[in-house]
Amino acid sequence: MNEPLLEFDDLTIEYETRNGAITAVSDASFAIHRGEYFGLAGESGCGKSTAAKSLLNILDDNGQISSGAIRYKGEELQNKSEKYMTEHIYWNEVSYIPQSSMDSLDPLKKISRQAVEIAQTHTDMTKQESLEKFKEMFEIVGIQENRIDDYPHEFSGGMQQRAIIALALFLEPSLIVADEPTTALDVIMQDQIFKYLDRIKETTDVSMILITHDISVIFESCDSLAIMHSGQIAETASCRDLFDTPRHPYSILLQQAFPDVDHPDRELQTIDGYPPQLGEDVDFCTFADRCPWAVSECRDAAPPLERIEDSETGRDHYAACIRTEEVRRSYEGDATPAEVDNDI
Amino acid sequence: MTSEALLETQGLKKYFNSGKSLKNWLLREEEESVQAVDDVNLRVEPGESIGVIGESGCGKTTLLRTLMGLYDPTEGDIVYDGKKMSDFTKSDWKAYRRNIQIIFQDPFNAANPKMKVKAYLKEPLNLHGIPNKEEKIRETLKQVELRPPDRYLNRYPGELSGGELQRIGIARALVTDPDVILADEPVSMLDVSTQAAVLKLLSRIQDEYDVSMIYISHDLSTVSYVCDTINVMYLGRIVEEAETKTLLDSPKHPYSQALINAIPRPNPYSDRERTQMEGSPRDPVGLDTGCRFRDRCPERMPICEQKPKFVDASDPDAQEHGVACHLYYEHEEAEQAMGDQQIIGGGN
Repeated sequence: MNEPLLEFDDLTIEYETRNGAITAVSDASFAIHRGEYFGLAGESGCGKSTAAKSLLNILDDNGQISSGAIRYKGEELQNKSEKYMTEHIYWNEVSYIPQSSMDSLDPLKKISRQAVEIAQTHTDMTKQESLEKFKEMFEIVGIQENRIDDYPHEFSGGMQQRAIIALALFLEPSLIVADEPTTALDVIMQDQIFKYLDRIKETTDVSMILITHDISVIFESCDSLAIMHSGQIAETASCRDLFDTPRHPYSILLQQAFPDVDHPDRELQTIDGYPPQLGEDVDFCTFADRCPWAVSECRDAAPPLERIEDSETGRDHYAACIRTEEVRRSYEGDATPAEVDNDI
Repeated sequence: MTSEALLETQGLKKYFNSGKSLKNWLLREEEESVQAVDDVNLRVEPGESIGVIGESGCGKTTLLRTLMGLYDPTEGDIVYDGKKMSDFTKSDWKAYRRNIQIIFQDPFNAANPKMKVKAYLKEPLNLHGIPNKEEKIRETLKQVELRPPDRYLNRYPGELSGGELQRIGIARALVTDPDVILADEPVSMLDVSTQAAVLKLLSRIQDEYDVSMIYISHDLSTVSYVCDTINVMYLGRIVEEAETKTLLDSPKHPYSQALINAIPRPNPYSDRERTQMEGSPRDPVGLDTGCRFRDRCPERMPICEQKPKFVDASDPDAQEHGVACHLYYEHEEAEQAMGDQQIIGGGN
């Protein structure tokens, strides 16, 4: 396979607090290829937003990358200055749709002016060129182009979100980082947004990291994903491989916990317990306390991400569980994920 | 209608006035109102759980607040146990407030942060003069699967996780032995793994304690785990009502169809198509009487300018399936009906 567009290599991120260091991301590794939509899934507090912020060098002041590397197009980004990021990375290469993106437009400026400012900071396009270009972006996200001169408050929530996607696409980045882009929207609106994101995927070769707690959104809209649990990557694979042959207990249980409107009779899986609070050293599987398959060895060392050799789709499949073989056997013993018992 | 309704709304309306502006006054215009709840008829039988689903702004929270007695209805009435709310005496209100309890959406902010769990659960018992408080509190904590109760009694909300807090919220609703629980999006703030457990708990409590539930949510996929029947609400009106499975399998109203279709499926092989629906619900200020969905509806007809009747559109031998859409009854009949309705002035 070609060199990935973006690679997280054994990345550990810590936050300094009054009570000592807290590990938010622990030895995380995953890769995103060109043109790929990649989902990063996990519960609140699992470190998925922190991972995204580290890529953009916008961690909170008390957060820092303590080891590992982030490689974007082969270049290591983790030690770059803000100035470098502004000049070379932001908007041109990587654009970011933050979690509360509804509030990220300047309410006092017309959308067109915000776009022109971005273009003037990061490119040498003239004002006229950038307006023309921005109109095209509005077209792509399905808003009439004469509305670029509106103020943000003149848009509905869904249109604001689309305007932000238009801004994110504006300078033709190779990667868009979208942190819960549709969580605040109603389902019909969410589906409209994804319709445009689908179209963008078909017409451009942009990649996207979609950070969300909602794996159904990822399964429908992404090519591959990583599932995080409390700072650790539990499993990363193509969506189809992870759906057909999940190898990490958390991936299995999470899928079964997810309500499916097509199967309202299916018993929902519950995952007992809560993710642990992580201190400085994470030398155990963070899922062990909630895992029905856990044995004492799970608490002795952090499980390494190991390659699974049964990929149907040809994409790398990794899982961080020392008992994948046992998990596989008990999982395949049942016909469908839904039938796997509580008490395996 | 097999048995007596426990709680019922009869043509319930709640309009909000935006207040008369100077422009209205100068032009002698009538002020425009927001028809947040418009002619809603719901009925809950003992032990039954009904869901009300709709997008944000459809009026479901207003409906819930009106049911709680926080808003006075503009028109129509709420009937509890055969008595009309408009005729409630002081003691009726007290009984109503004991027997109708609510579970809030946001467990993180619902509980008083300075009150220990024990005090928080004791409050309603004190208010309603219920004896054996200690015992009652312990028993309720066990019901919501917070075991052993002693571990939780002396803790503050800040020391509990989201799932535990929502269980405390449920315990507070249960502690007075209510007849009806109003649940306002009780799992929307929780993580998936916790959400499943809370949904199961709600469903179990509802079965075991024979309490009725009105479950309000925007998320059809979770409603279906708790509710026997589902009402779909759009801009203040109930547009469809059917037994849960019937509604999910064969929605009739074009809005319900779009809504169900738009829910993402946790399956990468799903062949669901993206929504065909454009735009968002219209501004709720100053709506006319016509079908509220007609501006987005793929099936729009001239008759849709009139208010659709709520008719039983069930298939032969199937369960009741109510829908408010002109597609499901004869045209002439409709015009006739609309004529009648205008004369007597509303109601369906």
